[in-house]
Amino acid sequence: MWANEGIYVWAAEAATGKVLFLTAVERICSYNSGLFFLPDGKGLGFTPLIKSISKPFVIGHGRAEQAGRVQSRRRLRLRLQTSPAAAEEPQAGRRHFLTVMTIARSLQPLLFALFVCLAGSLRADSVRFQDQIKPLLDQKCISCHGPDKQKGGLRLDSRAAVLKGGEHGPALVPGDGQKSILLQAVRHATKDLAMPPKEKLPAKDVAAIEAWVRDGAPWPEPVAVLFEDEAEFLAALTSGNGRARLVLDDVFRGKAALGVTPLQREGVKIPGWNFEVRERPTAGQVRFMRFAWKKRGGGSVMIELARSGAWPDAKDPKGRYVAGPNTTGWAATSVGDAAPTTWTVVTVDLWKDLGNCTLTGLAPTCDKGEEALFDSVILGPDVAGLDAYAPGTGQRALKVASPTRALGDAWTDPENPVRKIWRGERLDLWSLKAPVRPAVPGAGVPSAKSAPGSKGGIGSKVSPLKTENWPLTTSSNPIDRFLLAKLAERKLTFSPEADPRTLIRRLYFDLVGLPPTPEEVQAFVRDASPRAYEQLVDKLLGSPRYGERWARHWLDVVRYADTNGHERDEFRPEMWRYRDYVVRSLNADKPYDRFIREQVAGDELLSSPPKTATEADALIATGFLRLGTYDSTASIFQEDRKQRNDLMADLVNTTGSAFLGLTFSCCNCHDHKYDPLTQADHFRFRAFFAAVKSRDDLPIDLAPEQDAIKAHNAAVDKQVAEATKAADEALSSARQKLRDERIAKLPADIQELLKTDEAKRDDATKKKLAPHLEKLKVADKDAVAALDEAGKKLHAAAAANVDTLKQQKRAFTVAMAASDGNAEPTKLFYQGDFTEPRDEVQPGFLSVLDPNPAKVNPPPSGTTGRRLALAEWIASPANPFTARVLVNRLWQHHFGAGLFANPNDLGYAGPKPTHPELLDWLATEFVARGWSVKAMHRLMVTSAAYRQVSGYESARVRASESSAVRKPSLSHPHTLAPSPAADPENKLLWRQNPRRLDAETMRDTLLAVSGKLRPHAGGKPLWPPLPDEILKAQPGVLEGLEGKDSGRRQGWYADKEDDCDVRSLYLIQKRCVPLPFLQVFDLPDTSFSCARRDVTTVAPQALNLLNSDFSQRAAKALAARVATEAGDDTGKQIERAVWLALGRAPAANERQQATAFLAKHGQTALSEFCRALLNVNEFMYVD
Amino acid sequence: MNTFLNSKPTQPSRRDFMLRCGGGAGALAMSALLAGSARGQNFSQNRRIDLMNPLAPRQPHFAAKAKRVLWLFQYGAPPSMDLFDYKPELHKLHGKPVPDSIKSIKDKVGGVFNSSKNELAAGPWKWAQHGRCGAWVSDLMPHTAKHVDDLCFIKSLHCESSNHAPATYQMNTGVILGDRPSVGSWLTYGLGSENQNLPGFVVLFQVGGFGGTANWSNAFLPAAFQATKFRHEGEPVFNLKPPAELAGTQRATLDLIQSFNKTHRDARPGLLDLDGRIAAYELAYRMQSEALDVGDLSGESAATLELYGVNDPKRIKAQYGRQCLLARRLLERGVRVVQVYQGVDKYGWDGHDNNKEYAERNAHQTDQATAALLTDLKRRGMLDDTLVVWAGEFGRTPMLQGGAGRNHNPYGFTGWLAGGGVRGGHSVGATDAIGLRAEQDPKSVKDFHATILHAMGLANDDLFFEHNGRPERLTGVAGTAKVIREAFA
Repeated sequence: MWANEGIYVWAAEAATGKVLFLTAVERICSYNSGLFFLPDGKGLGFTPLIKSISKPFVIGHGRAEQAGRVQSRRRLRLRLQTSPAAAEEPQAGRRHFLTVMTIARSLQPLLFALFVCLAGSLRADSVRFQDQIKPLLDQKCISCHGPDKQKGGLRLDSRAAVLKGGEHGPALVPGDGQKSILLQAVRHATKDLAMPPKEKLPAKDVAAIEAWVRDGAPWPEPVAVLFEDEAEFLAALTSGNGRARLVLDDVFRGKAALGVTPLQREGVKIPGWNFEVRERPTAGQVRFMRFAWKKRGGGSVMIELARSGAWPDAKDPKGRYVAGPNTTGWAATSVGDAAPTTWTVVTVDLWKDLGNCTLTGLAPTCDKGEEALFDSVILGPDVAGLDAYAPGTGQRALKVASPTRALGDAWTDPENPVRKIWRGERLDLWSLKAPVRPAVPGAGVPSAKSAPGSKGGIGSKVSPLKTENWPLTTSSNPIDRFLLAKLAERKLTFSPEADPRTLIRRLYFDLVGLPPTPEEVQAFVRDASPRAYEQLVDKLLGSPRYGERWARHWLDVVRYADTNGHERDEFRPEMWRYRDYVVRSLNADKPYDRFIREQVAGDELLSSPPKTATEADALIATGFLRLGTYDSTASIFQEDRKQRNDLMADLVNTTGSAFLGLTFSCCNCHDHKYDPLTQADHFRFRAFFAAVKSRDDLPIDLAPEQDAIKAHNAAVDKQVAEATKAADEALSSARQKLRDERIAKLPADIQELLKTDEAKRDDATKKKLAPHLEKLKVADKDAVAALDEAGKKLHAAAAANVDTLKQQKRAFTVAMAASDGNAEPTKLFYQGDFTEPRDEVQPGFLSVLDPNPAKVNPPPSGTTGRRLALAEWIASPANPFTARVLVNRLWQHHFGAGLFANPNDLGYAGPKPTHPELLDWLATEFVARGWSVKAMHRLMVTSAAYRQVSGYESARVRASESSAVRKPSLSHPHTLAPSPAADPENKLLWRQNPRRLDAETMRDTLLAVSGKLRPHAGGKPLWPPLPDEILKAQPGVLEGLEGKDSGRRQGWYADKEDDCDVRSLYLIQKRCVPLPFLQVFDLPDTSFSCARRDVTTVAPQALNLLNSDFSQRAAKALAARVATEAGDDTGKQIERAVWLALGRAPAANERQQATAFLAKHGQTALSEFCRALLNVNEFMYVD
Repeated sequence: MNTFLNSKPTQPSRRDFMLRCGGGAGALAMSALLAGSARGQNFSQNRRIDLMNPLAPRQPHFAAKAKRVLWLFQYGAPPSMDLFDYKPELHKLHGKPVPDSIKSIKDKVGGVFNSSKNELAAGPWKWAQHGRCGAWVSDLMPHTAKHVDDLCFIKSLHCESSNHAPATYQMNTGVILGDRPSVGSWLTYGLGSENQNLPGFVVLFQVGGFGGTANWSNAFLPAAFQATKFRHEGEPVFNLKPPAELAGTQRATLDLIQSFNKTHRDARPGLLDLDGRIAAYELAYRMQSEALDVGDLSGESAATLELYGVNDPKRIKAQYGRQCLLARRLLERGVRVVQVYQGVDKYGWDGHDNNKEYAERNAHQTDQATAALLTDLKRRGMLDDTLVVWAGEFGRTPMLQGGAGRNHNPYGFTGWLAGGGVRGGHSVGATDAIGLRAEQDPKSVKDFHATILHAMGLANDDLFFEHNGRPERLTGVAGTAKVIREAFA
């Protein structure tokens, strides 16, 4: 639809008027002082130019004949123009551009004006409605479809009523003339629906209604802020000395008025109030206020307005309107001399009085004497609007009961709240629709060799290929089919298969994050079996190292760290259990849907203490909910609520990013600017987490063990009680003696009172005795002192017995995890500000898909079931995001870039997938294979696409150079040459992407090749020694090191250096002191979800790898290893060193250079040579 | 993209390998589009970063006087009312409770009243007016007082947390959570650096700020814009040099590495990362000498060393002087941003139980070198294009805490700016009568940041980086920051 009726925008240089750019966009949003454009249907467009928060508005579809209406807002004049650029875009060539309007405003520094071609600005819209549409409706329709009569169940006196419609359904669909019954009616299209029935409207009126509907049926209305018939306002009156009541017998209009006694004060911020006062109001803005008031007896009456959350200054008359004798001396603007004793309507021009401002609250007030009555306070953009205001039709400023009917999704229901973001359009965001399994391209695929992905019956579903350029291939892997089909469109095909040495290194680094040994490389190169590659893949996927490698990727996504962050950055002694859980889960190929359920709601899956290791893992998995930063000092300054707000927002953002690839952070404060996420959605998501209870002590022992521990401890407790009793008895005589002595010293009357039985003492007695009773308590140490020697001995033995027994108690094994408590009500925070709570929200999913509260059924675990409901929704095959996001993450790590480029952003701003069909095929395949991550790895890495060379054009040369005995197992006759020019960024994957090792893999590889890598199987993190100077970056660490942290574990607890030669995964991750060697190689920040690490090249990386202690140690160890393994012969040493570091034999020229180097540099030569090898690009990059 | 730009695909070139983090086709297209217009790079998009040389200088949005920034970070929170914010009324109310009119105001940020005594205290120091402008400075800062005609005091700063770590994070990164790039990272992202042989953003500290490295983190910006810690003792940068026994072979080792690298690269034409890394090793080699040169103070005159107090018998004072002198040497060589944490110990200015002791220790140990920097920059003609910033995470309360301490005060505190086009001898904003809350022209941390960017020729609303689908800015997406224009001449 938009293609023919869209808004056309171009940008032009202010100085010259030269048009630089022309395209069609569907929507233009304005911010306070800027504009931004949204992408058109082809995914082309701008990044938003957000200047400030304000409500986006939609501009109607432009039409040539409306062009004359556009008015200039700023100095640049309007002109008609046919863009010269139009011809360059085939579709645009047919369009006719008529009007240019500048909306430059505060963009002056940019010296860049934006000219917007549009037909009908918002102002024009409102004029049209007031001038043309409203009179038409009033004169021609309301008599049958209004407050008096509702023929056909239809009312046409408010927008809501029109949209609701009558017997025939909604009277109109904003923006859609075809579906609007109202238009059919006024056109007299069908006989039984011809309206008005007797006379057809003149053509110009019909056209006006058509244009109005097409523009989204704007219905500017005054904003009613106080309702005649509502008690809500009354309930909102929370402060002040006066009292307010509903008055039912004396009203201006409607059913009730508000009666107030003196000094009534409403809050400066009324929920939902944020009315901008402007000289020329646009949608949602106002200028005039009208109110009706009266006084029941003498004195003055006043209405006071709060602006921007504050009352007027005490001396400033602006913002207060008063009538009657101002007996109290209020600084106020008088709007009437006499106290109004009959209902008096006052209209004031707020803009004239106050200038541009934002009204946030209101207080009706009167002086002493009888109460004042207030009724019908309304705000509006113009006086005409106020005049036209019909009671009950205005926008309600205060909360009204939510609609009881169930809302439909945004595809079908115009009342879905998401529609306000896009006005019901543009909801066809690809990622909102569940993936539909596409057919695999390619006909006649040989089925004898079954494709790795053939389990889902792909072979039978392949559709005939439509292109003639299909290259011959023996690969039946559907991944290759999809990729080749796209490549063929550009007359491209795959590059040749990489040589075996490259392949084995690629597979090792990709799947286990470590290099193959020289022997493994040689064996693989020699292995002529046709299944050698697949066997290697299986071997690596079966290796425990696989889980360690891929856990790191997941830990990035969930922002794992071992400390709290912030001022104290305390160690979390049990957090590592979550890290090991991730490793275990990956190694076990735990189905991803289970992996999700465990992390989001593992505790809710269990109804009793865990009975199996798997169940215990479900509890450990809830550590996911604890991974955010935590400031333990917040409570000192009563910032707990703020902290909780931050934690909850963080949890929502991370859950959205990690599992769904959605950006929730924007809509913490406001509706998303261009993605279909409302602010309410953020809080609906929060509500799922409302009952999360942090547990640092969650027992994870299996049930029998827990029972045994409990039984044991109960027995010990019993013994302790007995022993304590014995120790106490040893003291009893001394205690009684001391007590008696003390009583004897008390005044006689008190002594007398003490004789009354404790149970029979009255209140007066108790009160009198209280100060003395405290003194009569005998402390143990006093009693002990009073014992004789024998008694002392006896008591000491008894006390020692108590201590010994206490030590026999056994502790549970605990995890830093979460459980479920009471769900606090979740309230939406105005602009994300936790001090501005608004409506309560219920747990719910994305409104765009389902705007109704989620069904939450308490599970057998006895928990609220909230997180479980969320987990089930995320882990559902029907969820449009989950499977796509995960397969894309896998793809990214195997191919260097995702099928959609930003794996944490599936919204409009994120680039569209390069291969949408492949993505959907993979997503559905993933679900079909029981969410098996390893199956997806296997599918990806066995594809021909994965096995290509990564170079540009040298592929064949290097392939032939290789010492491969085994021929590449897949062959692609190259009728089409790979060509960088056709796809320079390799988006279509005509070659593999080379990659630099990430920080941890780099370090692990240094350890591995030098022979220093220690086998390690998880557990508590290891702390490599660091220089004091680095630790001093965080004062809190010093406090810990000096033992001044009250046992909070703020310090750095260095282990022996050699003990730390384990995989980097197992090293401490302290938020405020990241390990320098890893940090310099682009370690991600641990505060937020990281989907894709940067790869930067900076000099400090070189300095680290050349000079750091760690590198030096690795180089020396490698040299020692080489000397041991190769003996004294220089040639053999060079051979071995290159094999160990790079997995290949040295080339002739390298051998030569190395020989010369070793000859020249004496004793340190070999370790220097090794240091050089550990620094070469080939060491850091995987082809 | 092609129809959008009407451009034809070309061979990959270095320029094509710009950093595009999340901006996608739109961001690329827009920046490419604007590259053609006269001052197109002023537009609100990711800055064009050449991956081969991420620190290459970039044009500011508009011409500005300041070319570099030096921030003397007063961590631990100095007591404004004892240094620069003279409050005669506080002296009158010494020993009295806080007036009800002030106490009854409800603050959004945590409750410092709850953990403070209801007793006002003026410091024991003497106040006098200085310079032509007649600015009041207490005798805690006698050296700095001589420079008041070059300083612009912002006396109405306020921040969003009364806790050290969040407030330090906010002062450095704009938000209290510590997950954003620091001001220095934003500036080097925006402007690159003038010296390619040194890092573009350097921090110096004896003890860092509360919250640690996140205060000078690049966060989601590329690592090229992270801070490098410069040391005031020993080799200037960690891992700058190999152990002594290898010093002689360093060049030969490097040559061997580069020889392997060239063979490797020649077999992989078009993979520009490889060129970048080859260049990085050469840069590292040059940095070894350049950084050593910066750290070598032997060329400085005795008078200069004296000026900074480098040889002062008080060890901490001497170290701070050395750091300030190093800062000048770094700035002189074109480093874009230098941040010196003035912390003399792990508490900085954080005098909770004995304000006098903390204030005197910190003032005495930093005042001379701070003033020396101003003198030295000025006489070298560098003050005109160097923006000097003096501020901590917040201030302290006029009420007592504990015995004789002052509590945290996020509601109103003083920082100052100098040089770089700043209007000297001037004050902006004011706190209430007792120095507790910013009352006149309150300035948020966002305003303060916008002002620093502005001084450097960057429009805060236009300095963007796309991250996780969101266009991030130092001053936030809400667009509420306002440049403190009164601070400029």
